[in-house]
Amino acid sequence: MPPLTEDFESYVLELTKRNRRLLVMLMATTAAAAVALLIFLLAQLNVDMPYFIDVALRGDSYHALNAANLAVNVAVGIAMRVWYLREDKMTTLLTHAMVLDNEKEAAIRVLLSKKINK
Amino acid sequence: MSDQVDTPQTRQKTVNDIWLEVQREQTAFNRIIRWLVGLLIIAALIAAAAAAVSYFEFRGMQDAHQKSIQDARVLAKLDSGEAARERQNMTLELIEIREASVAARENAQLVRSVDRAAADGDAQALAQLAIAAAKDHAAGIRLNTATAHLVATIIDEADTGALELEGDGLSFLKAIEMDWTSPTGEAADPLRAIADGDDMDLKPYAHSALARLYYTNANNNNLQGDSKCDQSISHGDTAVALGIDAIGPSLWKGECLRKQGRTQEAYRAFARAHDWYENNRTYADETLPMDHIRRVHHGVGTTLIALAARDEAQTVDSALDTVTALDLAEQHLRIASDMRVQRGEGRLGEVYTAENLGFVAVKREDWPVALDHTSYVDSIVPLAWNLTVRYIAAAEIYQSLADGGEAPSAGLNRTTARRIACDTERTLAAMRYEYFDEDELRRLLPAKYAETIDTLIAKPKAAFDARQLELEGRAMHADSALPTVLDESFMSELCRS
Repeated sequence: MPPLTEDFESYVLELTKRNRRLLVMLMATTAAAAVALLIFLLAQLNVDMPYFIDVALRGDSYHALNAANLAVNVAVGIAMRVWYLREDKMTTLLTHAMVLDNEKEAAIRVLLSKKINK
Repeated sequence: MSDQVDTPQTRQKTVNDIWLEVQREQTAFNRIIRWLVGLLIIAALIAAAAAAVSYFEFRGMQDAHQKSIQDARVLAKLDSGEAARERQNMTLELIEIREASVAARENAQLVRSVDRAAADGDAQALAQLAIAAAKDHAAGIRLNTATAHLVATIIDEADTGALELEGDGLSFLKAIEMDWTSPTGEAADPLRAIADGDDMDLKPYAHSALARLYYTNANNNNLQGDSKCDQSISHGDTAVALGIDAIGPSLWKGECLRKQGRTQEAYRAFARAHDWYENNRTYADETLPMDHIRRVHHGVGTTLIALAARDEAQTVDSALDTVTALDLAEQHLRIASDMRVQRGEGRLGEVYTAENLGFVAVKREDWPVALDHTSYVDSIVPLAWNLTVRYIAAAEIYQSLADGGEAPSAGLNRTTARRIACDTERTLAAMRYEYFDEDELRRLLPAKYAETIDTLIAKPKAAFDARQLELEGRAMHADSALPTVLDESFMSELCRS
């Protein structure tokens, strides 16, 4: 990512792009967690599984629960990353607005405060 | 104002644009927070499911561990029981050797007299003594080294023509000597010849000897299907009809009939043997092996229990109601078990007979006594009949407490009664089917326990059948197909978890 310069727009665009990628990953991992959890529940109810799932589970439905756990933890990590990026984006947008309003001193304060909070 | 046309790409952002974008971003931010919360809830659910799965997994492992420990305890107990049985068999053999040695010592003088008489050419005087010893052998008092020496000397003298024996005397002595030296049945033909002959003095003893021979060679584990037992009964009856004055024929007949399930006739035979013993007590106590008298008491007691179990005691003696029959049975069994102790069979010998007292308690429905008695017997050796009685007593107490009855003794509650019943059932499940003697067990218990017996012997019977198939070559590795000791499909309803 380019360093934060006065070209706020390209910085915001880069953040938006990253956010999109992360959102796709977030949806994928959430879906994976949901599917793994569903497989675990079906296995508990002794529902017949397709062959490849049986092979993947290796006779123990606990493996599905482990997979769901892994997926949901990755999803939480991604969601937190998205949270930080969105926060960053909003701060950048506000700073940009202050610069446009010639409130450069306030903008510098916001940026400094963001830096300190990080 | 710029001349440039404002397009989305070229137009400079205004504060207003940024403000709108911040608002959109705030909305998206809220959405991601909600998503995050949702993910955290799912994570919590997964953690809870993992905890539950682990809990059940560990509980299953703990149960399996407990069951393995119980399995090991049961098997160790049965192994020690097997070892005790082996020791007891050895003890019994030693007792028999000791009894034969005592009898030979008591007759030591006889050996010297025989040798002196043979040297003096005066064996005729001892011929009647030899015939008497041979008759005793035929009636159940086996020859010992001294009396066998006497018989052998008389046979030698008769063979050389130094003395003459009346009637079938010589054949009788030879047959009896053969029976003593090789008791597996070679003497049957010469004895049968005497039994079919005309010597009315020896004829009943030949029948008696045949009765003993067939009884000894009958398959003790399957007397019902064994014609030898029928032949023993037939020869014994003939001996009695010909006027033999001895306990043996009635005793063997009683034993055979008891195993064949002809309880009333068995009781009559044992009672006749007991009457003979009472009428000839002095002679019997001096000459009869203690084991004979013990078996008579054991036989009377056990057949009385079987009769009382079906409330049929009055069919053999109108003075015998069920209560009296049980009292009498208890007396006989206590005498028999005391005799085993006196004979040197120890506590194990004692409980081999005393275990039958449990059936008396069952018929009396005296469950605390049944439980105490079976506990005593079980502390010495695990026996199938005793454990069956123990299971029934514990199950009855459990049922009575479940129906709101009072605890028969302090510390005995439903949990304890159930634990006793199920531990007992587990031990029984690991026992060999042959130890149950199913037919006689069914006779000794009231008919209402037939289903209980079915349940208790299901697993040993399945194992027995599998072994039989394996022996017949119709199944390989039958043991691997067998259920484990604790297989619940074989457990009673009470003990299924």
